[in-house]
Amino acid sequence: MRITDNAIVADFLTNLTRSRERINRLNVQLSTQKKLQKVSDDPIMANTLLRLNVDLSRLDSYKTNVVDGKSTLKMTADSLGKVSDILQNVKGLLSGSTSADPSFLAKLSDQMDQYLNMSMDIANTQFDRKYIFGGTGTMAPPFVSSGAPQTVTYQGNADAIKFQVGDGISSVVNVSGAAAFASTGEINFTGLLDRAAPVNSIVTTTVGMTDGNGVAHSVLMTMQKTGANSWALSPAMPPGATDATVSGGTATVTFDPATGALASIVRGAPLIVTPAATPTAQATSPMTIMIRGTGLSEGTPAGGASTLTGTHTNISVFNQLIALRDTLRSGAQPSADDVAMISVMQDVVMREQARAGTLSTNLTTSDEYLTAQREHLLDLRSAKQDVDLTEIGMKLKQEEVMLDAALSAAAKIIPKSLLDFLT
Amino acid sequence: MGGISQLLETARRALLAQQYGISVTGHNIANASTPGYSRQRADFTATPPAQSNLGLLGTGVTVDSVSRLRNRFIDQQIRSSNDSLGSATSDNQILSQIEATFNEPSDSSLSAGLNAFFASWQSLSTHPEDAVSRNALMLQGTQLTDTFHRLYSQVDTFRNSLSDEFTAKVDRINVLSKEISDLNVDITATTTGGLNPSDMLDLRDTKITELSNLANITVSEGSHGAALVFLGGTSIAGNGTSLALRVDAGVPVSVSGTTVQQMRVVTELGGTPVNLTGGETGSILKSFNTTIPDTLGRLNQLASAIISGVNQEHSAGFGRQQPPRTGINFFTGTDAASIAIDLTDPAAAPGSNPSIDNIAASSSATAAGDNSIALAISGILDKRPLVSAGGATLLDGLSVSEYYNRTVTNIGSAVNRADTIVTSQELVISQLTQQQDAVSGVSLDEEMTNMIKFQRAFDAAARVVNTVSQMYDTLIQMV
Repeated sequence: MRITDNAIVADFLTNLTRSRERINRLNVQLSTQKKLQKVSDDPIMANTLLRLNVDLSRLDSYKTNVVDGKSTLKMTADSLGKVSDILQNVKGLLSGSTSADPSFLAKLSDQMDQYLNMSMDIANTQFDRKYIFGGTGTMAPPFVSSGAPQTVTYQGNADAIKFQVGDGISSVVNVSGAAAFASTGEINFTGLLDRAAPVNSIVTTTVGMTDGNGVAHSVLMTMQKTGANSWALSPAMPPGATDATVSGGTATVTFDPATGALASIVRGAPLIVTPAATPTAQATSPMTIMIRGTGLSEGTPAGGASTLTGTHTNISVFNQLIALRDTLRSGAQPSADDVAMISVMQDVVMREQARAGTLSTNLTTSDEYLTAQREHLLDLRSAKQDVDLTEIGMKLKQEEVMLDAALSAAAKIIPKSLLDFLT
Repeated sequence: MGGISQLLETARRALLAQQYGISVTGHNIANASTPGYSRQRADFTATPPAQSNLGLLGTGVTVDSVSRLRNRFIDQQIRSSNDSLGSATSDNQILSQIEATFNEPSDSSLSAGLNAFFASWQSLSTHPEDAVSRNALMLQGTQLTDTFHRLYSQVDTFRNSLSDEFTAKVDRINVLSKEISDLNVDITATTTGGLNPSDMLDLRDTKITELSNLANITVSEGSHGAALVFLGGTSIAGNGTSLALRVDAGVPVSVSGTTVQQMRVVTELGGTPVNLTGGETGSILKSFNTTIPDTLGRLNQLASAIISGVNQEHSAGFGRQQPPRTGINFFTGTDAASIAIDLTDPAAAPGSNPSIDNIAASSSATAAGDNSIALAISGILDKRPLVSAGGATLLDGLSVSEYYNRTVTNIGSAVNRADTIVTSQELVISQLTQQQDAVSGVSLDEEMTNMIKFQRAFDAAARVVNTVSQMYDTLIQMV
C-alpha cells in the first residue's frame, strides 16, 4: 500500500485528537470528581442517579420531619410532666385541708387558683408557633376560660397530627388536650335499691356518653346484690355493641342498714371506655370515668323494683380545679371523691406523658433506620458517580505517556523526506 | 535505416516527453495538499517504429495521455458513509444542545426543582399553619414553573433556529447541484474531445462528496462521464440541468400530545415533495419534525400532570384564610409554557391574590394543624398512576419522577447512540480515505524520485542531441 505524506499527517492528527479527547475527559472527571458530566456519558447510570436523588431528597424530608416531631413530642412530654407535678401538689394541698378554718381554706383556695392558672398556661403552651395540645386546631389556644361561674372549655379537637417518616409510614406526633386533660369524667348514680331483694338480684341502667370525637356511646351498668346492704357494680357494653370496649369500673356499694343511706363506695380501677377506631375518627382517646353514687340509697321502692339511673359528666382537669377552688373558697372542705378524682386525672396525664415518650422513642427508631438507609443510598450514589482518584490518576499518566510517544514519533517521522538527502 | 535527422527527431521527442513528465510531476507536487486532488501520471508510450532495411526501428517516445489515478468504487463507499456521518454528526449536535438545556444531573435542573418543590410540601406538612413554610413553598413553586418555562422556551427557540439552518443548507444543496450540472457539461465536452478532464473530475467529486454529507444522494454515471445526482429518487443534477429545491411548511401534526408545525422540502417548480431522509439536512428535518416536538410534548404532559395532580388534591383542602376557604387551585395553565402559580381566592380582597394564605394544607376548615393535603401533594412526585380529573391515566401510567427520568434518559441515550455512530463512521471514512489516498494521494518522495528520473532522462536525451550535433560536425568536416 502506498503511504503518502497526507496519509501520515491525517492519521497522526486523528490519533492525536482522540488522545487529547481522552485526556480531556479524564481531566474533567478529575476536576469535577464525578464520572458523569452529562446524561449521555452513561444514560443507564444517569437514570439510577436521578432516581437516587429523588430517594435521597425524600429521605432528607423524612429526617427533618422526625427531628421536628421529636422536639414537639419532647415538649409535649415535658409539659404533661409539669401538669402531673401540679396535680401531685394539688393532692398534697387537699390532704392538708383538714382544718375547717375559713381563712385557712381561703388561702388554700388562692393556692388552688395558682395551680389552675399554671396548668392552664401549660395546656395552652405554644411550641414552634403552634398550640401543641389543640389536636389539629393549632392556631387557637385550646383551653378557654369564660363566664361566671368560671368554666374552661376545650376548643381544639381530638385529631392526631401525623408526620410522614417513611414511605407509607406516618407517625403521630401530638397528644391532644382532649386526651390528656379533658377525657376524664364521672358517672353519678341515683336511685333506690330494694333492700328486701334477694341476693344476686340485679338492676341495670344504660349510661350514654360522648367521646372526644363527638361520637356517642352507651355503657350498660349492672348493680348486683351481693349480701345484706351490699351491692356490686360492674360495667359492660350493651349486647352486640362494638363501638367501644370497657375495662375497670367495678365498685362495691354498701348502705347503712338503719337509714338506707350510702355508707361506702369502694372503687376498683376507674372505668375506661375505649372507643373503637373508625375510619372517620382519627384518634380514639379512651374516656376515664370515676364512679360516684351521691344519689344512691337503699329502701323499699314504691313500685317494688329497684331503680337505678347513671349520668355521665365530662370533667376536665381545669373544671375540677375550678370546682375545688370554689369549694375551698366557700369554706367547705373537699370531699374524698374530689381527691380521688384528682388521682384519676393525674393517672391519665401520666399515661399520656408515657404515650408521648413512646411516640418519641418510635421516632428515634425511625430516625436510626432513616439514617442507615440514607448512608446506604449515599454510598451507592458515591459508588455510581464519584471517581476513583487512583484509577483516574493512573489512566491519565498512561495517556500522557502515550501522547508523548505519539508526538515524539511524529516529530521524527513527518519531517523526513527524500529532499533531505538530495544535494 | 533512418537518417541522422531521424536521430535528432527521436531525441526531440524524448526531450519533450521528459519535459511533459516533469510538468505532470510539478503539477502533482503543487497539489500535494489540495483536498480531493487525484494524482496524475504521464503515460509514456513508444512511438510507432519506422521501417528500415534492417527491420523496424524505434522512433522514440511520446506521452500518450495523462491518467487520473482514482478508485471510483471507494468514492461511492465514502459517499454512502458520508451520508450516515453527516446525519449522526448533526443528530449529535442537536441532541447535545437539548441535553445541555436539561442540564442533568445538576442542582439547577428540573429534577432538582421537582425534588425541592415536593420536599417543600413535606416541610409544610410539619408546619401547616406556618407562614415561613408557605413562603418557602411559594418560592419553590415559582422556581419550578420558571424552570418549566425556561426549559420549554429554550428547546422551542432552538427548534425554530433549526429552520434557518435548514434553509441555509437546502440553499447549499441547490448551489452544489447547479455546480455539478455545469461541471458535467464541461466534462462531457472535454471527454467527447478525446481528452481526460482530470482536474474537473476532481472538482466535481469534491462537490458530490460535500453534497453526500448534506443529504441522502445517489450518483449514477451518465454518458461521456456525466454524473447524475438523485436525492431520495428525485433527479437534482444532470448534464446541464439542475432542479432547485425549497423549504415548505408541512402539515401540522400531533407529537406526544402537542400539535406542531412541520417542515418539508419540495421542488422549486411544481412543489413536488422530495424524500429527504439522510445527511445533515435529513437529521435537521427529523429533529425539527419529530425528535424535538416529542421532547416538548413530554414536557407539556409532565407539566399538565403536575398541574392536574396538585390541583385535584389542593382544591379539596382548606387554606389559612379567615374563615378558611376551599376549592382553590395551586397551579393554573395547561402545559409547560403556561404553568403558573394560581392560588387565587375569589373571595379575597382585590390585590391580595395570590397569597400564601390560600395554600391548602389542611383537609378541614376547623383544623389548621391538619396536614393531610400537604402530605397527599408531597406524595405526587412518586405516585403512580396519576389520574386526571376526568379519570384518564396520565404519563403512560408512570410517576412524575419516572416520566421525567425517562425523558432525560431517552435524550441522553440518543446522544450516546449518535456519538457512537459518529465515531464508527469517522473510522470507516478515515480507512476508506486512506485506501483512496493510497491510490490518489501525492507522495512527495515518489514525485521527487520521478522528477530525478525525468531529469536524468532529459539530460540523456540532450546528450543524444549533442552527440548527433557532433556527428553533423564530423560529416560537414568530411565534405
